[in-house]
Amino acid sequence: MIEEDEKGLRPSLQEERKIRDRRLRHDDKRVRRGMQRHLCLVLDFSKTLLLQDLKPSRYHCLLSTCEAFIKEYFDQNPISQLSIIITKNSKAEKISELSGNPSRHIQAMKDSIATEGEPSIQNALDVALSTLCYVPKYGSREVIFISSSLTSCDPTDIQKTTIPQLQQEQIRVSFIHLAAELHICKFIAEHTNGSSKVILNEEHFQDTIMLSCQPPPSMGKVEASLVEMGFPQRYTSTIPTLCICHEKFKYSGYICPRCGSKSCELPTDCQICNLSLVSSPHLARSYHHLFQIPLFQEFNWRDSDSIIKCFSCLLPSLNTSQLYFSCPRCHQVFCLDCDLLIHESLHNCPGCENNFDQSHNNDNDNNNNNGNGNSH
Amino acid sequence: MVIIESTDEEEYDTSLLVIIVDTNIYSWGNRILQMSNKTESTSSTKLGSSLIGFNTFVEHLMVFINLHLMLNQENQIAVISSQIGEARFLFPEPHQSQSTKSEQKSIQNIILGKLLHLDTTIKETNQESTSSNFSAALSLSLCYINRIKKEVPIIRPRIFVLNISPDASSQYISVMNCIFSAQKQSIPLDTCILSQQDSTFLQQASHLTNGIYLKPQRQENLSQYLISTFLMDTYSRKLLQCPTLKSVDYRATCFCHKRIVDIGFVCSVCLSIFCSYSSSCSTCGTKFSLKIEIPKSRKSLSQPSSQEQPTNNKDKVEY
Repeated sequence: MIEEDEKGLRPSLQEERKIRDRRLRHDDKRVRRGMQRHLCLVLDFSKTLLLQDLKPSRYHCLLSTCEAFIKEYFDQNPISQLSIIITKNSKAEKISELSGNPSRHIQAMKDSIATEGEPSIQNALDVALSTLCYVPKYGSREVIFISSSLTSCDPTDIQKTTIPQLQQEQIRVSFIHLAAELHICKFIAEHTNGSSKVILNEEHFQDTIMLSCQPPPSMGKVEASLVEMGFPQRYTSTIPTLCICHEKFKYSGYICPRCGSKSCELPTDCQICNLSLVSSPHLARSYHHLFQIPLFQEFNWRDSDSIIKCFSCLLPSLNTSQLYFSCPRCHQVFCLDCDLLIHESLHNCPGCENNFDQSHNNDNDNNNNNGNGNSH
Repeated sequence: MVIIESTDEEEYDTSLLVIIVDTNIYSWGNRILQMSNKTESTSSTKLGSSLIGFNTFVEHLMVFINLHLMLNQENQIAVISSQIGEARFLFPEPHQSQSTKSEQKSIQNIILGKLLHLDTTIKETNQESTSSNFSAALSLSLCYINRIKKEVPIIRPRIFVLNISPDASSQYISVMNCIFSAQKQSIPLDTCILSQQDSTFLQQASHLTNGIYLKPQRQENLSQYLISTFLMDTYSRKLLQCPTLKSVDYRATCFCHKRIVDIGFVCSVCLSIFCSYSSSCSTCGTKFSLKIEIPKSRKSLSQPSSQEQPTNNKDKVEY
């Protein structure tokens, strides 16, 4: 009953394995990562964006992929910030300031529709520099440049002025090319610890950019510091009061614990006293980069006599063309869909949560110790 | 395209309801104690908040489950129990091969049978911790929803938690992971608290996922609360006035003294929270640069008491 191709492999499964490998390709090494990220997303809005080698066009592909990336970025890094810079007509322009609100960035990106002229790598990087140099030293500074054209229109020599400044400010510049790689881009990426990648198709573009959602390992010696943060409570009052961010009357909001002003959403910086306001769930959300769950190993269904069943969704293995995986810690079996969900979105192994592995599990102990402190 | 989708939304109002029932034997046992104390003191009826035992609770729950299934022929249900140290499916049964659409009576029987069985199994286990494994139950329900969504893409899932045990702080991170995953898939998480204390976890969960948080005052009328608040699907909620929370506590607890803090110091490397400034992080051992002495002095001026306890950080975990 098993379908095989001429090499004796089951073709349908091979395809699924590949998909899984591609999607779960993050490094699970324990390294120090810059948890609070400040990212400038530079978009090349030159006229080359109208080319139709990516379907329906590079422009639409770029917009939809970046929208997905911004959402994923803030989901994975809730206390990080992002700013969007576009470059066209040999100029660069910041269309959204560094902030933590995904919808504002996506709206700004959609509002800037006109694509024209040539890009300017140097101008774009200079704008990014001027944005990122005010960021506190403990946060990581990154630029992701999505370049679509093969030319650049720069005012001076980028090698003499911009690159040393980038190095000095410890800004990591990574490039994603929609067309082909440029020597200067690769040069910049190499000298700033970034990466330079060329995409193959729309899907690969999505995969490549999504890899940047995981915080990169911090470079060299990073200044660590204790950051003062406020944990405001959310109040709903019967009388609307002014919020500080929109200057509108709102019924509910977060009250800054230091100055008592009202903000509409978290995380943000209090505009009155400049205290960074976060909520404890946001901090807890960032912990999964530090305590990752192990990759599951493929489970050979021939090993068991009875019908195997996914532990978490109860999906039985009725047909043979299904992949099953088992967790190395708790040895429970999961189906492919659950495996992807667990690693991409949930970041919890239901089996390990169920304490099937209490005796030999140091990682979870560590995790729990941290959790103790965060009970509210 | 968008217009068609929105009409679709109104037409297909089938929903998948995953109910997480807290069957912690200690909490329900305490409940019996509380109830007997109440009946001894004569002024019990004046207090207003009346409590119910497990049997009555299950009766109310069954009414609710049956109503949910009768509301729409294609409505689906899953029931997960979170008990001490473990979470498991009550319905659908894990050991049955692909359960076909069984009638409502048998669903009720399955759940009741499972609940009867549960009580005996808990007594045999002898574990130190007495908290329900809520995070495992949430993880299971999210995986199950993921599967049903693949099978029936138009179904609208939601999670309903009936909780009686206090929060277990050791589960905080895993519960938060689940909540953010639910938020990303826009699955609302409704909560009905049967104990007398509010649950901070579930307040945050309901607020973050746009769910309803309710602590019924008169528990003998539980089915009334369930029907009027938790029965409607996600679409009709937009048209109705749902109970809102007056305040949600998003404050954190510091790692060093387990105090609740409004303003804390967060290590930039491992994101540990401390209530006062120190020169190195006790969790990850990082030495901090002395450049941000300024906030320290400001803090110590306003709150001299925070310096009283010496930081005994040396015996903490390092990784």
